Amino acid sequence: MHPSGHIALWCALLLLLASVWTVPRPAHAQVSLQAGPRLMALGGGGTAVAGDLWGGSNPAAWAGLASRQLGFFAGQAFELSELRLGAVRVAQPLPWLTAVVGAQTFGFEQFREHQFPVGVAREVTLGTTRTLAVGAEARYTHVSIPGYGNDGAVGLTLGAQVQVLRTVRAGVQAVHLNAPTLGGGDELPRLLQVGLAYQPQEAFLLVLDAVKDVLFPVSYRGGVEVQPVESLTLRGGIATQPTRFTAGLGIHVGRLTADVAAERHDVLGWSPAVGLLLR
Amino acid sequence: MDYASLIRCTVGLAVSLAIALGVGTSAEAGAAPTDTLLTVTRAEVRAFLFDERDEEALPEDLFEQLETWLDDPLDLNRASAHALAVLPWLRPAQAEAIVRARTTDGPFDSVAAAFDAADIPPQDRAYLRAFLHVRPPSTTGTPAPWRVMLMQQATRRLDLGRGYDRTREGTTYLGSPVRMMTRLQVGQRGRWQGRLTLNKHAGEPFAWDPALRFFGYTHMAGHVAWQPRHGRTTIIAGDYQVALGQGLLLWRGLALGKGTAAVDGPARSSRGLAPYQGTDPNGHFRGLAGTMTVGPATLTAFASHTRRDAALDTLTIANGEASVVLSSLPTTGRYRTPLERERRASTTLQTAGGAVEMGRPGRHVGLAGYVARFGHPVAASDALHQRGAFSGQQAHGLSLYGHYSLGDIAAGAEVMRPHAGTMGGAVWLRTAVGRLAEVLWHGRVLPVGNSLFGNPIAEQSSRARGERGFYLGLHLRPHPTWTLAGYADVFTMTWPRFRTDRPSTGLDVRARLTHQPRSWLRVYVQGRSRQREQNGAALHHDTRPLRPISRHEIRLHAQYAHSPVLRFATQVDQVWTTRDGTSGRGFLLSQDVRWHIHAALRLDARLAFFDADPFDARVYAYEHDLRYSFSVPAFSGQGQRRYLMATWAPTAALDFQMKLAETHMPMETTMGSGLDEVEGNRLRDVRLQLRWRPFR
Repeated sequence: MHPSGHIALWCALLLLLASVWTVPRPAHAQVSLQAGPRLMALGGGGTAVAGDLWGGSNPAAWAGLASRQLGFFAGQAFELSELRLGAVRVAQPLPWLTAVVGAQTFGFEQFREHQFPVGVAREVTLGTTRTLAVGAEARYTHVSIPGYGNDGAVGLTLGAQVQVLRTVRAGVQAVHLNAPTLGGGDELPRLLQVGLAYQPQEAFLLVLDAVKDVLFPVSYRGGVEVQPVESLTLRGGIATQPTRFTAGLGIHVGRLTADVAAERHDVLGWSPAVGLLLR
Repeated sequence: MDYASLIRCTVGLAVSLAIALGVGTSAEAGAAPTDTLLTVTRAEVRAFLFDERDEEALPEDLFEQLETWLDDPLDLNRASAHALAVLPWLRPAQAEAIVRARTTDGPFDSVAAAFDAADIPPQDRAYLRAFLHVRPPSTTGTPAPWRVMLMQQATRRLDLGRGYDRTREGTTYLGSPVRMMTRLQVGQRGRWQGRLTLNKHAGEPFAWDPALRFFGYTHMAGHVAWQPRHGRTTIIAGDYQVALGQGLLLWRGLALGKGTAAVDGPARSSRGLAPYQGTDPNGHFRGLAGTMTVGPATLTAFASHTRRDAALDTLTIANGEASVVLSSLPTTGRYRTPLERERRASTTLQTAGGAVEMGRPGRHVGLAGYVARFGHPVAASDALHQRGAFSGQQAHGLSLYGHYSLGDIAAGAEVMRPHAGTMGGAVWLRTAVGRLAEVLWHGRVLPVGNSLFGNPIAEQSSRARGERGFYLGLHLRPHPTWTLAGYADVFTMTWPRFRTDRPSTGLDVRARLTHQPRSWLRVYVQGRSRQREQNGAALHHDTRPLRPISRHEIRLHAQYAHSPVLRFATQVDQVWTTRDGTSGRGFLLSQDVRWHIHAALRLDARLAFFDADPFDARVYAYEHDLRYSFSVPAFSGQGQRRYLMATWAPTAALDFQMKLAETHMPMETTMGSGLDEVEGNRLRDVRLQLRWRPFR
C-alpha cells in the first residue's frame, strides 16, 4: 500500500475507534452510505423522497412502494476495505401496510457492526383527501470489537412524509428516538432530520435536508436527480459538516435497477457504492 | 443490551403500529372528506405574541390578559368600542366601525359580517377570531350568563437541584419542589366578575404563618370587578392594573411593544383599568379603582396600598440617629430562601392617581397623574448606571396624552413629567395605503428619571430610561398569500446602563415574510439583527472602551395542517453572535405534532435538537404549555428537548392537562446553576392541571 494510503487508513481507523468507543458513532454516519445507493448520490439527504427501499433511513418512504422489492447494497468508505458495508433488504406490500426486513454488516475483523432492521409503513388520511405516509423501524445494532467485547441495542426510528403541494413533498424522521445505548452507557447516534423534495416533472427531482445529530453540528444536504432517458438517471449532491460532494447514476432495465454512487470527502477521499434492486 | 432502551423501543413500536393500523383507520372513517382551512389556533396566537420576547421581563401580565380573552371571547353584538379597541390586531377606528355598523344595521349574524363592516384584512382576521364571537341576536335580552371556574395546577421538576438537599450545609430552599396554583372565578358575563389566584412557586414553603404573611400559598391576587361591556364604566375592588396614554407614566398590564406585530405594537392607545388576577406580586395595584363617563369626559381614579418586597438597610445619619432605607426593590417574586423570605413584603407603597380623558376611542386627549409614597425612603445608589433613578420616599408624575384617527391615518402622543423633573415624550403616526401597506413612525425621548409605573416602547421596555429612539414599522400585503412585516429601531442611550459605562447606540431590525400558498400550508422566514454597545475588556487605567455586541437570527418556520385532526410544524433557528471579538453560533431544529386523537383528547408533542455556544448564542423556542402558563425556554449547549402534552376534556365543563418534558444534554455532567444545579445530564418535569367550568 502507498504510504499515503497507510496514513489515510490509520486516520480513518482512529476516527472510527474514537468515535465508536468514546461516543459510539459508526463510521458510516460520517458518510452517506447509510442512505442507500440512490440517496447517497443525492448528498445523503432525501428524507422526503417516497418509494425508496433504502429510504435514507426514513421508514415512511416505504409506504410508497407499489410492489415487492429486493435490494442489495455494497459500499466502502474512503476506499478502505476495513470500512466496507454490505446490506440486503426486502419490502413486501401487504393489504394494510408495507413490511420491510433487512440485514447489514459493516467493518472488519477488528470492528464489526451488524444491523437488523424491521419496519412497517402505511399511508393514512386522518380526515382529509391528502395522504400522510408514516413509518416505524426497529433496528437491532450489534457491535463487536475483539479485546473489548460486544454489545447490542434496539433503536426505534419514526418517520413521516406528506405531499404538501403538488410538486413539493416534506419529510421528517427521528432516528433512535428511544436513545439506545451500548456498553458503558454510550448512545447510538440520535438524529432529527427534516427535508423537502421538489419534483416539478417526473424526470427532475431536487432534495434539500437538514440533519441534526444530537452531538454534532447540523448538516445541510442537497441533491439533484435528472432522468434524460427512461433507462438512465443521473444524480449529484453536496453535504456539509463535513463538506462532501456526491455523484451517481442509475440504470433501469425491466424490473432491474442498478445504481452506482460515490462520495468525495476533501481529506479522506472517495467512498464508492453500488446497489441492485429487483422489483 | 440496554433493556431500558429496548422497553422504550417496544412501547414506541407498539404505539406506532397502533397508529398505523388502528387509529388511522378509525380517523379516516369518521372525519370530514375535504380539505380544511389552516385556522389560527389559540396556541398560535400565544406563540405569535410571545415569540422573541427574550431578554424582556416575562410578560405574565400579557399572558394573563390573553388567556382571559381567549377563555371569554368578546361578543361583537354587545362589546363597547373601548372593549374591542384594546384587542391586539383591532384598531380603535375599526372598533368604532363595528359598533357603528351594529347600531345602524342591527346585530351581526356572524363574526365575518363584523369584520366586513370594519374592513379588517384577511391576515388579521385569522388571529382576531380567537378573541371574538357572536351571540345570536335573540339572546340579547336574556339575563347575562354565569361563569364559574375552578382550576388547580401542580407542577414539579423530577430532577432536583442542590437547593432541595436538606443534608447539605448552607442555604437551601424552604419548601417543596412542587408549584401549586389555584384559580377561582365567578361572575356574570359582561357584568361583574370575582377572581382569585393563589400561587406557590417551587421551593417556597406552603405554610400558615400570619406573622410572615404566609397563608398557605405565598401569593394571592384577586378582585371583584363590575365591568359592563356596553360602556366604559368600571369599578374594581382588589387587584388591578392601569394603562394610559403611551405608557410613559402609567402602564401596567398588556403591552405588545416591539415584536411581530410591527405596526400595531408601538401604536398604543389607552386601555384604562383592567382587573388583575395574575401571579406577579409586583406588577399591579391593590385597592379601589373606578372609571365613569360623564358626557364627553371619562374619569378614572384609583387608590392603592400594596406591600412590596424590599432589601432594607440601616444607615446612621449625621446626628447619630439610625434610619432604615430601601437599598433595592427585588422583582423576582420568589420566596424560596431565608433571604428572599426576609425581604418579602417588607415595605409598603401607597399610590393614588387618576386621569381625565375627553373624547371617544380613537379621538381623545387625556391628562393623568399619580402620587406614590414608600413606607421607607429609597436610598440613592452609587452605581453609575443607577444615578438619576428615583430616590426618596415620595414620587409623583404627570402626563398629557392624545390619540387621533381619521380614515387611514392615526396618531398618538404623550408628554410626561416624572418626579425628577426632566420631561419625556413619545409620538407615533400610522398610515395605510388601502390594504396594500401600513407604515408606522414612532419616536421617543425617555428621561433618566423615569416613572415608577411606566412601561413605554423602548429598546427594552423593562429598562426604559435615558433613551432616544426612532422606530419605523412596515406591514406589506402585496398579494393575498404574501405578507411582509418588519421594523427598524435605532436608539441612543443617553445615560450609562448596566455594564455600559457611557452613552451608547444600537440598532434592532426585524423582518418576517409569510407565505400561505394553500389553506393548509403556511411558511415564514424571519430575520432579526440586534446591535448595541457594552463595556469591553479593561484597558490601562481601568478605562473600558465600548465594544459592539451583536446578535443575528434567522428562522424558517413551516406549518402544515394535514386535516382537522392532525397538524405539523417544523422550525429551524440559526443564531450568530459577537461579543468583544468572540463569536458564537446557535442552532435549533424542532418538529411539532398536534393530534386530535378523539374529540375529547388532544396530544401535543415536540422533538427539538439544539446546539448553541456560548451562552450568548442561546436559542429561544416558544412551546405549548398548560393553560394560564407559558414557556419560552432558552437553549444553550448541545442536546435535545422533547415534550408530550395531553389535553383531555371528557365533558364540556371539565378538562385535564398533563405535560411531560425532558431536556437531555449528553455531554454535560451537571445542568442548571446555583441552587437549581442538578447532577446528571437530564432535566425532567411533569405538569398537571385540572379545570372545572360548570357555568361557562
